[in-house]
Amino acid sequence: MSRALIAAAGVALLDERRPLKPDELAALAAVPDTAVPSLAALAHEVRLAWCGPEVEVEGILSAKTGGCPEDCHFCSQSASFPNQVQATPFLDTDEVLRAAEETARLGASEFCIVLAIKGPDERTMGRILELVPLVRERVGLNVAVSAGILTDDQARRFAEGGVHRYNHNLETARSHFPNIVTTHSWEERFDTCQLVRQHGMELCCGVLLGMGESVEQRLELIAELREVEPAEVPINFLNPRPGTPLAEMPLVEPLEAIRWIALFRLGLPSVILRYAGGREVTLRELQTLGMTSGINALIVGNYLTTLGRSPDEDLQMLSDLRMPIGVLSKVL
Amino acid sequence: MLRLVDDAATHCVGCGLPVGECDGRCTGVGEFEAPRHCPHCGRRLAVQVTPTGVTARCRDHGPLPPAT
Repeated sequence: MSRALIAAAGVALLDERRPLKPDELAALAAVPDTAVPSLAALAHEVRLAWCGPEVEVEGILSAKTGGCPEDCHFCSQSASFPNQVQATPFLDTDEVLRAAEETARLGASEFCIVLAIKGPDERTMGRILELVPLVRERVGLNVAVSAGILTDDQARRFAEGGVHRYNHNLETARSHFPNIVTTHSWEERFDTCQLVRQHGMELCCGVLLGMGESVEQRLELIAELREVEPAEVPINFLNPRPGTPLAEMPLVEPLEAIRWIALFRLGLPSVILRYAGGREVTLRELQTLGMTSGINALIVGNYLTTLGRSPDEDLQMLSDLRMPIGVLSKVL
Repeated sequence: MLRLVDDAATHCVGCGLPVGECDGRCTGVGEFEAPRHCPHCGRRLAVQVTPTGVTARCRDHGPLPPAT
């Protein structure tokens, strides 16, 4: 049964070159654990056929850490919880440039400046718009920004200011979102995603798996991502943070993580699917398998407030897999 | 990388509790965790994680020394 389902999905995605229907994806989500490697193999083939062999490498920097007024239940940077992350102000220009240079030395093509805020005020807009051309011109990296919810005018100014890609995650399905965030709505996030695309920036719209969502809600999330048409989807796995409401959640099991990496690729065949936070603690020894399950991009080095594994290990992994590092844009 | 614990440490860098009160299994300590509390007083540190490094400073005891 699983073999037939996976074969049929292969015909749809590789021969007919059409996206899977929701019921087809739901059937694949239910294959037994023993069929997950076959599912992953198909996802890898789909990634190669739709996106090519290149892997995009990115570095990220928390340029303004902690003290966030929002209550995202997974986040150690929220001021709502007794967290351990001390709030620090917006970094100096030189500090941001040094981090960009670190990123460039790792072979990355993208550098994302991230701020723990609900949305940018005028002073923050000015700082970001000052930094973007500096990083691009002095370091030669594409610059992505993650600064929360935007107005139409702010999205326009970022686009005109040279922001290559804007990150704004949906995080979880609309039906699960009120359990995770109460200080803003899923619709506000959706609206910002729309603005990003309307103003010509590439949309980076990530997910965070392992927050108590059901299988149906993960499938719902894939459908919602199809609506916002992101260029890139970072896949994060919950790494429970001390002091947050989700501190006691269990990690996603490694094979389950592989299943969902594959399903996100099969559901979103043309996107840049990026390994992001939580992969080290979730996948452990299966990180290489994820690279052949549909992933075609990764964050190297450290994350915003937690550490990643050594960049050398990731670069060696790509070399061993004979996966070239390149710059990607959405195919469709 | 920072040296998280030295002979003079009196507090857990993960949770800030005095050494002896933390059982060493607090979730703030691990291979992929940045130090969050001063090993000398337990005060929260100002921490900056960058793509290839991490710096941490205590208001009273200054920056944590890099690992040797």
